[in-house]
Amino acid sequence: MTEADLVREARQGNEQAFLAIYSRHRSPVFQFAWRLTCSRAAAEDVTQECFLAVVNGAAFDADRAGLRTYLFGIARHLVLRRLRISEREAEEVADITAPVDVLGKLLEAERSALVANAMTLLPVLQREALVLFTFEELSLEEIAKITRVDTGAVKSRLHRARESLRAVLAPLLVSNPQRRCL
Amino acid sequence: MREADPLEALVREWESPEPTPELDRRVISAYRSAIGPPHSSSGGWRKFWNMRVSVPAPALAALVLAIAIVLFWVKPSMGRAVAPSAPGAVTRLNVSGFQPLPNGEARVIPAVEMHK
Repeated sequence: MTEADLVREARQGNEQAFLAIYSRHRSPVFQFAWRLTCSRAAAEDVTQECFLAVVNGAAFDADRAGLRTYLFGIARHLVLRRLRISEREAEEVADITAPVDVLGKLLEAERSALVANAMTLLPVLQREALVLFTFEELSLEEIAKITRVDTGAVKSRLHRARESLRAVLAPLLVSNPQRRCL
Repeated sequence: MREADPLEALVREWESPEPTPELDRRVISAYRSAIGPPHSSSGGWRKFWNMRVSVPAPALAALVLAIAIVLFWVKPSMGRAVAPSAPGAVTRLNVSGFQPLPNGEARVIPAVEMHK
């Protein structure tokens, strides 16, 4: 049964078809949402809404893109909507993206925590491009479809994300700081 | 082209949590709510008895009028067929030339013999 068949069956009430879709894509969708929101609660909400959107008839064209690309597109839309809302609500809150003292924290924090911190400092559009490219191993074309921009814009976002990370994480890049990718 | 890159290796150290079983329960429950009750053998009949048909009021009025007209025309014609021509007992038996047998017995005569 193809993924298009599974989506159609799930919409008609076939729970097994829905579970097949869900079990196959739940982790990538959840982790993508978590990496963009940095919140388990928000990522869970996005994951739930994302899979319900598939059932509730959000247009899925199997010829245009695979189900994974389609799900990431929905998840992205939901995350950005949430981030816009939270930005409006948090206008008065202190600047949470202020630069951090990486060298100082290096002595007291774990390496992965520093990486996580550096990732959260990235603008969300750069971060999503990097997450989709690095963790989900999507092609530039697939990322372009999800983010609704051309591949040139995706390349540009990846490049800027990498430059920012390279600057922030320079103390950890002890081996070879020369850029090789993209 | 993806090549080995210290930065990429470093970025991959950013671990994310796995979805919890609680999320699975939430999503499945939400799916069931969105879809409705599961299908059963009596689902078709239940659906039939609970079925609603939306009809525009003018169409409904025209339908009622048409039925009334049909009833109006059909009922009198059926009544005319059975209406008595005069009040009292009615018989269609032609008794002209009827003579009972002297002993009062009844005889059955085939229709062919009668025409002879």
